Amino acid sequence: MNPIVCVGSEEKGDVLVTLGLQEESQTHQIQIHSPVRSLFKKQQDQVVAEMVAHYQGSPLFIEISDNHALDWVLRARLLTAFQMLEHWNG
Amino acid sequence: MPDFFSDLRQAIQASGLQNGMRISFHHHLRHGDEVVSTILPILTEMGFKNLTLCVSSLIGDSGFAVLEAGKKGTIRDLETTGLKEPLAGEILSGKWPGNVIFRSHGGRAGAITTGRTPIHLAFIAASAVDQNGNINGIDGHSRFGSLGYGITDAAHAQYVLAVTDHTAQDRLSRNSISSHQVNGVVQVKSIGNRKLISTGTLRQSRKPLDVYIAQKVIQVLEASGVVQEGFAYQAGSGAISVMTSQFLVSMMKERKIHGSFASGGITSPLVHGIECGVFQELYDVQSFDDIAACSLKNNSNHREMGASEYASPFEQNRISSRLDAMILSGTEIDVEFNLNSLTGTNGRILGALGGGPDTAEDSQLTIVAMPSMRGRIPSINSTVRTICTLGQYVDVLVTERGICVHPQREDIAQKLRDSRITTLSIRDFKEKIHRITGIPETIPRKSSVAIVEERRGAILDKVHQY
Amino acid sequence: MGKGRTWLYCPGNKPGKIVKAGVYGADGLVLDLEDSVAPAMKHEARNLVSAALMHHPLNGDVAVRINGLGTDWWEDDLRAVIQAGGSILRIPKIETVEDIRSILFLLKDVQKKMGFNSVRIELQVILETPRGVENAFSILDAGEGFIHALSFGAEDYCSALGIDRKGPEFVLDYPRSRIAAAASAAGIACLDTVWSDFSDEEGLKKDASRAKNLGFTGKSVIHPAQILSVNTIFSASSQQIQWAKKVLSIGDIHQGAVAVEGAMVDEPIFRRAKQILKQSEEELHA
Repeated sequence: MNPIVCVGSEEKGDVLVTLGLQEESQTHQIQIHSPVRSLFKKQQDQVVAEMVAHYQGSPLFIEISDNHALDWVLRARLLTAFQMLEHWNG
Repeated sequence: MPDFFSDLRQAIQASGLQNGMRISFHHHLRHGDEVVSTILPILTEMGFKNLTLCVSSLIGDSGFAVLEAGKKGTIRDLETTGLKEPLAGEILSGKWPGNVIFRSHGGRAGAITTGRTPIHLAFIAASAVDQNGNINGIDGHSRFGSLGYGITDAAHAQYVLAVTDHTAQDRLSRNSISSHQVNGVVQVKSIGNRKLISTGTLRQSRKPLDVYIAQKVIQVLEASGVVQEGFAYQAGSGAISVMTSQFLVSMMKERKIHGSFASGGITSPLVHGIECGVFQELYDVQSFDDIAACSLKNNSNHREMGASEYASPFEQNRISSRLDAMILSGTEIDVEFNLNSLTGTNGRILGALGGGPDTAEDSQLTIVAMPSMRGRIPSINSTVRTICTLGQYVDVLVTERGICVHPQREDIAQKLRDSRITTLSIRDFKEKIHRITGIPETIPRKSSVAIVEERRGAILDKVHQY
Repeated sequence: MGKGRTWLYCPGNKPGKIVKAGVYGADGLVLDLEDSVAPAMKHEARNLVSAALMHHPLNGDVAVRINGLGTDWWEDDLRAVIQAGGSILRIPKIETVEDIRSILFLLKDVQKKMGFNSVRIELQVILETPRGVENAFSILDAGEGFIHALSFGAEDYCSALGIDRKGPEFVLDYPRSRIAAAASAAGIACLDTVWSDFSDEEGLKKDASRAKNLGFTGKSVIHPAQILSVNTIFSASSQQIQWAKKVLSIGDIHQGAVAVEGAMVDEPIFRRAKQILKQSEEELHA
């Protein structure tokens, strides 16, 4: 993965979102690392799906390193990441 | 007078220990314990198999030694109040060779004194022994304080082996366990790491959240009316409990209220409590820091207490039955006020029963104080993963986002209303917290890997794989 | 809004802190987009604060401190807060009538375009410079009723004058008095500057007490540990409440001054007693 955008942090309550270009696949490659994955997988997947649905560009590698972030935090970080990616794309 | 051995192997040989028997250790040395990790490998070398390990708890590196001993077949069954990784992972993966039983401190004491779990060989780490074989935990350079859990083991075990790193030339400050209860004494190089002995379960914190919750607990205690002359109190070793004890002592000092005693695990705020006259006495089953250990040695109002005297359900005059208020914590609570202090919501084994189930049942007022969520994980759920303390024994839940009173305590609810303390129903509280965190998935319960015993011996709940 | 005793600042790019900020008993929160957020993080923080306003239950009143008029960020900040449903804006470094007019111009324009005309936006204006302090009265006059609190920022003020923030207690008496008088004349709240050394509780108490005695109604804080002390200082004490009840028990005083416990009670004192009881009732039910 060639990381282009990195938003957030690994502090408690936050999430680090990394977006990168990838050529291996036609669809987005999404990796979510979270200590609460077993408890909140559904919610996390839903937020990611919602935010990714608005993105129209080339397939991405999306890596999410969560540290107990609430859904609205994940949503805000993803929004910022995609906005920065748009800006990078020009 | 006991036999004095120069070698652990000799001593173990002399005890008559055989395969399949039960051995015991206390955990008073906390994270600094070197006794468990010294002795278990020796038992393995000596070829012992299928022993039952009965410990008051497992903290720190002792868990590694137990894990190895389990893999090698030396230990088969395990009885404790709690344990952590990596032993927890081994048990949850189903690889542990035998039975695992979790008991509260009072439950363990009751099982020992009634003969339900007879101990053949009790290893009693002692910071000092005298020439006659009397032992304690308050003299010597490895002092740790009260020998509360060791006292019960020593009174009932077939063979008591004191393990020490200091033989005193003169009489001890006090005899926690008299020589007539000690069968053998062996001196080793070191029973523990001095620095680590006074840390471990004690969590000192000035975190704003812990301070805030502790302040709320004090408000509830005040409003409930229990804090008056003769007040008897106990709190756990968690950060909020320690902070609560500190605030309570300040409050009682300011208002010139004289309590009768504080008990249980003794921390420095409680020591300050007897030094300034807020409490008349301390009953110490476990000294959580060096200040408590020194106070036990030097202050005649600071008394050592055996685990049975502390909380055995079969001891009619147990100290816990005289408590006016108990503050404890847990990992999660459910809408019936059942408390989990052993596993997380996700099923991992994280903590211990401790003395919570005993004191919660016996105390006039039981307050559970904890954060409403830890990270994203809510502390309140529809049901808890593992029941450690039954909801009928929990009176009030205090968190930073709400206070809930058990419906059976309308008397307390009225007092809180009179003091203009807002409460909400536990179900409304659960909704409130889940609106913030999201509703966590219920992790499926697969095979059972351990039992949680109620203090009188019945099965209360089971620990399941996930 | 705005009569809160304590306003807790919370950095807008620290979600872990935002989640907890509302639980410590502060009457208000200030989600900060200005000084606690590095320039490179302004965009991230804006999105986080917007999301928090929309989705996280924050207890008490919530203000957002946007970036100052001289920056590239303030307009986007203002738009984002309005769009997210925020209703209290804390505006730093206001110095002149023109400053407040610029804010109001954009505010009304944004509200109109977004269809938020019915939402009543409240402004808390921070006066942090000598010019701002001097212009307190005229700034309020130009506020068209949007300004609900004046706030004092001592760090920049002291820096401008070359004086020590932690110097003798009287160094801030003048700006505090002027701001408190202006706020009182407008009938709005008056919020004191932060005490930045959160391990110095004695210093905090002295500072807050001084501000209260000069007419301030509350104080901004930067750490939860400061909340209890400041709430206590800005609350009516039990002695004050007892006194107020005694005064009001004499009934109407339209006949003129009367004596209560050896002291003269006339109309202003009667009003003060009513104010004390009203405030203590509000705090009880908060």
